[in-house]
Amino acid sequence: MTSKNIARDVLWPDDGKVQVRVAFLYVGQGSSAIVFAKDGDEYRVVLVDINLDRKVAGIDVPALMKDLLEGQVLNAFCNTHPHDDHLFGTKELSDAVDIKEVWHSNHKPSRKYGGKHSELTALVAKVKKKYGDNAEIVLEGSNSSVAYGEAEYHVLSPAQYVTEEVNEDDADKRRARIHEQCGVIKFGKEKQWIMIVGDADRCAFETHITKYHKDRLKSFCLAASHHGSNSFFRENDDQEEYMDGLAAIDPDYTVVSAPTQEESRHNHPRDFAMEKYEEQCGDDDVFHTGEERYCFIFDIYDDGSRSNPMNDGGRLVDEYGLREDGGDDGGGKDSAKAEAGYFKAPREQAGEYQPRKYG
Amino acid sequence: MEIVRADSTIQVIDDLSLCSDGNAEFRCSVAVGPFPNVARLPERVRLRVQLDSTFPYHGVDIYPEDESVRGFPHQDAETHKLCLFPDRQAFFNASRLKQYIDWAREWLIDAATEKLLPLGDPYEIPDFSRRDFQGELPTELPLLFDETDDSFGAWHDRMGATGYVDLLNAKILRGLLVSRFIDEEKNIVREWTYPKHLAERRDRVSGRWLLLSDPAYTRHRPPQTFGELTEMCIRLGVDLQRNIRLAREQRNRVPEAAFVLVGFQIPHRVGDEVSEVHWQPIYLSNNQTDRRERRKQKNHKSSKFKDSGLWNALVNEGGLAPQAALPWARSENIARKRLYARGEHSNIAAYERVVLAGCGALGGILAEMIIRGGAQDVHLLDKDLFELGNQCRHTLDGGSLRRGKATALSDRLQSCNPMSNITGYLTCLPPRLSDQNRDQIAKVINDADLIIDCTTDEGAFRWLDKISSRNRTKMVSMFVNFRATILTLAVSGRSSSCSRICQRLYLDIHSGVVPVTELEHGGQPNPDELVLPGPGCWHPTFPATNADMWLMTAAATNALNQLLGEPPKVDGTAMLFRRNIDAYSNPIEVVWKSNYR
Repeated sequence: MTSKNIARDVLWPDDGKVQVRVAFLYVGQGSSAIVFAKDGDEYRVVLVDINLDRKVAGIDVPALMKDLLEGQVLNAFCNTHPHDDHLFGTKELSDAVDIKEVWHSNHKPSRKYGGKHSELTALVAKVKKKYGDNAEIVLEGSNSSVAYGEAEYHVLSPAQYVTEEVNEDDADKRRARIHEQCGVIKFGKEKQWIMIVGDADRCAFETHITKYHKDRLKSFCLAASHHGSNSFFRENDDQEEYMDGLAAIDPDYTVVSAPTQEESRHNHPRDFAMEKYEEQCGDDDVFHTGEERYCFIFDIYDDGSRSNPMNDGGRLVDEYGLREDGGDDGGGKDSAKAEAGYFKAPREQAGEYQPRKYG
Repeated sequence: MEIVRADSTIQVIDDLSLCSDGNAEFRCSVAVGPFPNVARLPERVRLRVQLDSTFPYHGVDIYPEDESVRGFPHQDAETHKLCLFPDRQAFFNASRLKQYIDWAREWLIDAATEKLLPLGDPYEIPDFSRRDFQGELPTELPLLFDETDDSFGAWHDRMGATGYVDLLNAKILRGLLVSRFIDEEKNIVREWTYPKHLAERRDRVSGRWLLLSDPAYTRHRPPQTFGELTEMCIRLGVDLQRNIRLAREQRNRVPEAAFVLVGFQIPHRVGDEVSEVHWQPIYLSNNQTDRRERRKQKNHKSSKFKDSGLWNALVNEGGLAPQAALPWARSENIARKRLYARGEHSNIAAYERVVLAGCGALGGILAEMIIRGGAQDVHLLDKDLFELGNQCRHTLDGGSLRRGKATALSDRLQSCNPMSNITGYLTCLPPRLSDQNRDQIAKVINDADLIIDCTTDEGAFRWLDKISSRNRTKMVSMFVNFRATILTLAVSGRSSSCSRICQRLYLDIHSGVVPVTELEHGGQPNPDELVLPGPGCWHPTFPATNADMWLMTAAATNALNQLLGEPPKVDGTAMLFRRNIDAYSNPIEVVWKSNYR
C-alpha cells in the first residue's frame, strides 16, 4: 500500500451532512457497492456483493475495504444472491476485515452449482461464532423500511414465500430461479433512495416485486440489474419487453456494473438494456463502470437533498486494480500495490506480425 | 514626401535633409485630438522623423520634440522615440512614410486620452535601458531572476524593506543568477530555485536589495537619476545611499562590481493588483576597483583609499549627485512560466520526469523538441556512440564524435533548456550487470512519470513496458518503417500497456482493418536498398533523409502533446502517420488513430 490511503481519501464521506453514501465499485464482470449510513459522528459501512476480476483489472475489494475501514469493523456484508460474480472474494474479505453481520438471500445452493457459496457459508459461520446468531440476517421482502443509524434500508425481495418455494425445488430449478430469489434492497430515507437489485430478473419484478411493492420502488438511483443484461426486461429476444419495473423505480440515474461488451464474456451490458436505461434517464445519466473503469458515488444529505453523481476519475482502479498474471520480474517499486499491478499485458502468440522498427 | 505634404493635417516644418550619419530627417507637426486633454499634450506636436539610409527596408523612427511628450508607455525613456507597430506592417511603397506619421498621430491621440496602456492589457515594464552606460558598466552580465505570482508571497508585505542579496555566475547562461535574498534580520526571504547545474557556486558575489512599489517615476518613465530614485526611496523610508555604500563594500571579485537590486511591485495586467516583483539592478564599481584605480592615479598608498575615504570621494565628486544618471543594468526574468509562455509542449512538460530511451535520429529529434518545449527533468538513454555516418540525420555534430549519443545529446540540449535537468546515460537496455550505472538507471526509469521508447529494439521495449506496467507509468513508443514513410506512435492507457496497444494495432494491420499493409508498415527491405556503412562489423541503415525524420517526428510530437493533454483513459492510443513521398502533396497525414485496451 502506498503511504496515502486512496480508498479512504476517495470514498469516506468528509461532509457531515452526508446521511447516506453509496459507491458503486468497478469490479469487472460482477457487482460491488459500498453503503455508508450515518450513525452519529460515525458511519456504518455495508458492502453489498463482491467480485474479483483479474482479467479486466477489477478492484481488489478486500484490499480496498481494509484501507477504507482502517481497522474499523465492516458492519455488514450483504450478498444479494450467491452467484460467483457477487461472491468472489468473500474469503479474502473475511481475512482482511472484521465483519459484524452477513445479510443474504437464503438461497439453497446445490453441491452441483455451489461455486463460491461455500465461502459465504463459512463467513456466516465465522460471524455467528463471533457475534452470535443475530449476526446472520436473511433478506426478506417487507412492506416497511428498517432504521439503520440515521438512515434506513428497505428489503423488497426475496419474499419469504419465494425463498420457500425455490428452496423446495431441485438443484437445476433452484439454479434457474436464483435471480427470481435475488435480494433487492434500497438505502436512503424518506423520498431519496438508491436501489440495488442485484441480478433480479423480469420474473422477480413482474411476478413478485412490482406486483406487491409498486409504490415503494421509487428511487432516484438504480444499480442496473444483472450488469446491464436484458433479463431485467425480457427472457429472450422474441419476448415483448416488460417495462413496469423500471417505470416503478423511475430512476434519474442508472449505474451499470460491467466491463465493456468486448471484455465481457456475456456481452454485458447489452445494447437493448442500455437503450432502455438511457430512454429512462437520458444518455448522460447512465453510468457504466467499465467504460472508463470508474467508480460512481451518490450522496443523500440530511436535509433530504442529494448530490449530483460523482466519479473517482479512475483513482480506485489505479490503486487497487488487479493484474491478470500477477507476475513480476523484479526491480519494481517496493509497493504491495505495485505487485498487484493492473495493466493489461499482451498475450504472446506464435507467428504474429511484428514490424521491423527503424529510428 | 509628396504624399505627406498632400495631407493637410500634417504641417512639414523643414525639408528632408541628410544627416552626418547618413540618415535623413525632417520635422513636421501633427494635431493631437482631443485638446485640451488629460495628459496635457499640446494641440500640435512637433515630430522629428528619421529615415534610415536604407529606407524603405527598415522602419522609420519618430521622435516627439515637445518636452510634454515624455515618459509615456511605448516610448523610449532616453531618446523619447515612439514605439510604433512593427515595420513589417507598413506598406513597402510610396505610402510607407505617411503610414508611420499616421501611426505617430494615433500614438499621440492614445497618449492624450491615456489609452497607451488600457486597463486589462498586459503590463509593460517601463523602459530602463540606459544607452549612455553601454560599455561603461563594471560588468555586461545581465541579472537573471525568477519571480512569478507564486513567489510574490515572499514580497507582498515587504515594500520599503532592504537586505543583502547573493548572486551566482551562471554556467550555461550568460548572466548573474539571483541566489538568495536575506533581510536585515538575516532571515532568508527567498532562496535559490534554479537547477544546480546552472550556477558556478564558487563564484558567489553579494549586493543589496531594496523593494519599492511602482517602477514609474513620472507617467510611465522609470527613475533615471539618483535624485529621482532617492525621492522614490524616501517615500518608503529607504536610505538609497546607505544601500549603495554597503553594496560597494562587498568584496566581489568575479565580477568585480557593486550590485544594488531595486525591486518593483508590478501587476500582470494594467489595473490589476500587483502580483509579481521585477528586479532592476544598478551596477557600480566597488571599493576594490576604485581603490586600485586611485592607486594607479596617485601612485602611492593613502588613508584616502579606506572605504570611508572612497565613499567620500565618490560623493564629493558628484558620482551620486541628484542629477547623475542611474547606471541601470539589464535584467531578465527567467522564471519557467515566462520562458515557456510561448511554444511550450505543455502536456509533455507536465510530466516532471521523462525517460527517453533511444537517441538515434528519431529519439534525438524528439529529445530536441520536448526539451526546447519545456520538459523539466529528462533522462536520455542510448547504447550507441555517435559516428559521423549518423550526422546526416542526427542533431549532433562532429564535436560529439565517438561520444555516447545520449550523453553528448544531454550536454547539448542542456543549454537549449537551462532551466531543466538533462542527463544522459551510455547504456544498453536493460543495463547489463557490468554497467556501473545500472542501479542509477533502474532508479531513473522507476521514478519516471513518462517513458518514451525510441530504441527500435524489441528487447528494450519489452523491458521498459514491463516496468511501465508495474509502476503504472505512462509509456510511449515511436518508430518508423524502413523508408520512413510510416511512423508508429503507441501510447499506453490507464489500464493498457504500451505493448498491448502495439499488439492490438499489429493485429488490426494484419487483419487489414488499417489502411496500411503489413508490407508497408513493417516490411523488410531488399538487400540492395540497405545503406552499408562499410566493410567489417557493419549494420544496415535505412535511407530516410533528415527532412523525413524531422517531418514525421514533429507531427508525432504535436500529436503526443495533444494525446497527453486528454483526460486519462483506460484505453491507450495508436496512431500511424504516413509521409507523402510526393513532396508537393500534404507532407504528413494521420492515416490511423484508434483507442485500444
